[in-house]
Amino acid sequence: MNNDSTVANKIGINEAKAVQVSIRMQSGEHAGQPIYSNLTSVQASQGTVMIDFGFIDPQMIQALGRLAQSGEKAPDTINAKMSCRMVISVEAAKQLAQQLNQLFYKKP
Amino acid sequence: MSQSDPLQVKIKLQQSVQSGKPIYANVATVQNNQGMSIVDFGFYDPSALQSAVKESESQIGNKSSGVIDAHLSRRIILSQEAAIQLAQQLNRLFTKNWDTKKPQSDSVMADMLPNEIKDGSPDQGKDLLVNSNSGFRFPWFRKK
Repeated sequence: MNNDSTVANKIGINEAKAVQVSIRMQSGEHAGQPIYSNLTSVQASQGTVMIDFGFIDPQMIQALGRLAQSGEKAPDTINAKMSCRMVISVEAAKQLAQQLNQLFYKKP
Repeated sequence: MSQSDPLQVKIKLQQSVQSGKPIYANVATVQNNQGMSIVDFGFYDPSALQSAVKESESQIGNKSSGVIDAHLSRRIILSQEAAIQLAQQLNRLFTKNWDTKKPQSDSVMADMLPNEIKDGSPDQGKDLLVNSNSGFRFPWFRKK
């Protein structure tokens, strides 16, 4: 399976010019099936950004809502399963943030 | 419990054998499709990028048609709400004064909980604390 999505990397050579290189993403052997996630956690460390993708049962949230509305004591801790942990470079994290911003914070 | 008293719940993110192993990526792409966001994480050889840059530098006008290959490491499907929250987390990370020597974390459970959840634990994201002081509020708690 080939993924034809490309990303343009602008690599600054100097202030006056930049080089644009397309990156062709190809599915790797270990990519496996897509993973669905409704929980994310972002942590920064030295030179990398760690993103944890998790899944929490939506029914659990609904049950919590019912508990809260009825005034009953809610559990202190609920469990979520970590689906995947990605460690990405700071540059890649910035690119990801830019892409997400372009998607969701487009100026009209 | 009043409406002005948000419910605090810790979320314990449980690792499995497979998910506990981190995967490194140096490129990420995002596609939006039918209310879902598809985030592809990939890895490309940095030396291939340098070669492509050198090649383009040697060309007249610096117009590069170079394409380098990256291998898809992992594809994550996020609900739109989760993707928006991820964007907010990353934005916070890069807009605040980021000291890379001190680990920082920011966590959001997004699908049902649209507001901010901050990680109150230094434990590498295992215990995610719903922090009322940071403004988190369950949807059924409305501000008066």
